[in-house]
Amino acid sequence: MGIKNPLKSLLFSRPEARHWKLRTKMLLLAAIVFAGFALSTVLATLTLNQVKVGGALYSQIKNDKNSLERIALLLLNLNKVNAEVYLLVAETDPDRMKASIEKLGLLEGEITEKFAAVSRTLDSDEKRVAVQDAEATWKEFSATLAGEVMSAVQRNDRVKARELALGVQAMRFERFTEQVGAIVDTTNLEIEELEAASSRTISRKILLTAAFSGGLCILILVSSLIVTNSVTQPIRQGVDFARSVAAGNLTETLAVRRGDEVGELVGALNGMVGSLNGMVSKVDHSTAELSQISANLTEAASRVVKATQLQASGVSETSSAVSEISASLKQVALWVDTLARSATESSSSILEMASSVEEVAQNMDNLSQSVGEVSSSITQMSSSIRQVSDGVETLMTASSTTASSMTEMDSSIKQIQQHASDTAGISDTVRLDAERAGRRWRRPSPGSMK
Amino acid sequence: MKRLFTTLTLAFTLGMPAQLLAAGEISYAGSISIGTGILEAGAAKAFEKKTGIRFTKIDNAGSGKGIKELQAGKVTLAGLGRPIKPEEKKAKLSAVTIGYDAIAVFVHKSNPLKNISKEQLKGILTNKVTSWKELGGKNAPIAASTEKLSGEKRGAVEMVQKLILNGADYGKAMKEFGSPRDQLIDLARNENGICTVSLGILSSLDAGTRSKIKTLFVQDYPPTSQNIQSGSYAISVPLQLVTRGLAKDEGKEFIKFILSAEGQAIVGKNFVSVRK
Repeated sequence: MGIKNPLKSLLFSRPEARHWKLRTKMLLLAAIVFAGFALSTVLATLTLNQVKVGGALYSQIKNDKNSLERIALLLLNLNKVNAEVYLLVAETDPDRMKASIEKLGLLEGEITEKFAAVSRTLDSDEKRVAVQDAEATWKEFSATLAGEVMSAVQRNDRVKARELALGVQAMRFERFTEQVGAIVDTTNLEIEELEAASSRTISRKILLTAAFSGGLCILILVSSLIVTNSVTQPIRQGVDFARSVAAGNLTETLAVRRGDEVGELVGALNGMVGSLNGMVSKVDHSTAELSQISANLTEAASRVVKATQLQASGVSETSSAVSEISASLKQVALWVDTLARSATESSSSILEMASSVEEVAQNMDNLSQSVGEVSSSITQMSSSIRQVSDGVETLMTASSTTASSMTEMDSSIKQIQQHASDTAGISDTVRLDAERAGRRWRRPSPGSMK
Repeated sequence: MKRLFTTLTLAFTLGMPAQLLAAGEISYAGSISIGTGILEAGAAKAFEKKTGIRFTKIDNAGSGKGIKELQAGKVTLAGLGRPIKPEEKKAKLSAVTIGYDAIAVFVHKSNPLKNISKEQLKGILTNKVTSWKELGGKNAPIAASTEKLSGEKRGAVEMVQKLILNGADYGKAMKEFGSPRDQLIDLARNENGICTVSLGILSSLDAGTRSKIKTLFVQDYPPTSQNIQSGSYAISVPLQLVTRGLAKDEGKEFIKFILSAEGQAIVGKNFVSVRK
């Protein structure tokens, strides 16, 4: 019943695995499943945390986009200022000039606020330096606008105003557009790289999670297979073993050496079969003893029957002898009649002898009666012995149930046998005595015959 | 496990530019203004002293070549003596302004001219104005020089073409020099000379040479720090360090250093620092 398959050998024959209890294996399997799912959950949570709304990546991208939005609004205002300056230097209507100047004043205030707002949203020193750089340029632009350009416009020096607007102010405008544009470029690139990096990271994490989940499934599958086989395989061996035992094979043992509960079960089964084997051996031995006793009983019964037959024969002979005695006695009686008739013709001595003979006759009658009684007793004894023989047969039947009673019965029968033997002896004695008595009565004494 | 690690390391290594493999090293190619006026003027040594990161290469090959070397992965940083171009931005290059340089218009100290307009300068550089007399000076031919016009364009050449020439080509009679420093040395010996050279180069000259040359106002604005930074001075350019993508590792460390007070002090020696 050993394990033959190499794969099974690999899976189930490792010493360290063999010594693990089923409970340990099940707990280990549960731990693997739990740890696997926990790790999967952690990986999934990490992935979700990276991309979730409010997460670090989301916040950084959102912050960058907020910066871009504020920079865009700032650039919009700067463009409006630049456009308004061009309109102002070309404007000749005093009311429109005044409105334009008021509008420029409002825009300047907004731009100053927007520079501050942009600075607050920036997250790196590099960008803050760039914003400060642009703001410095803006301040110079603003100062020239408020001073030289406005004053040229107000004194109607349109040539100077146009020269300033198209010359140095245009260059300054281009400069801070570049400076602010550099922040936009950097921020855009940052967002792109963040998105690309997070996309790569998420892809890696998804791949890792998928690979891990796949590996976990295989691990759980293999672990389940090991645990299931470690339970079912010895059970199958146990079933085969039980069938083998049921078929009467009590010499084989289940060759599964394990330190777990199954090993304990196999040990218990092997122990049980060993005990069963011992019990069967004892039963066989008892059966042999019983057979011997039965044979003894049969032999004893046979001897009892023989003894009884012998006894019956003795009794028959005794009866025959008694009959002969009776016949002899009748002959004697005839002889006695003859003697009596002789005696009537004889003397008083003969009368006396007749009287004596009468006594003898009386005695003989008594003897005849006694012999008849003995014969009757012997007949009754023969009947009793037949009953005993029947009882012996019943006893033989009963002896198959219990050896001890049979033994006792055997003993009783032996005693009965002894008694019967004794009775036979007595019968023999009686018979011999009767024969001797008969012979005595057949040979009358010489004195009496005269 | 060890074999897998070795394989991954090898695969990763083969996919990277050689100069990025060595940790603690950095390399530069590009604008001579940044190379000589900032890196070689103390920034490289101060950076190495502060961080342990050593400049293994400072190639003052000009802005155009620097960008090419950067894109080829041969250097960590490229230096631009001009604003980054839109096509360079599209190639995912990231530029950080670390200071400002001005293309100063140098003439001999004896030249009485103080201010020059963009139009006048354009006329000289395109060889349409050939005598100082046309500018109110003496009757003498104008000896204009420039950096090499062939090959990779220098940042100063590009800036002048963009800001002064409005995209037009230089005149054929221009005397070409391999380096702006040589232009200034030649100018010191030529009273009729004129050249457009990075202001930062001035500090690399000896005092004798410096004393023989001077800068002109452009469009009424002198090349002061404020005017250069704000763009009031017509031929001012940002000095930019460029990286492939956002700066990382050693490149990021150097940009952080050069924008710090210590780095900006070094920039301020020859150029206009960006941090106020």
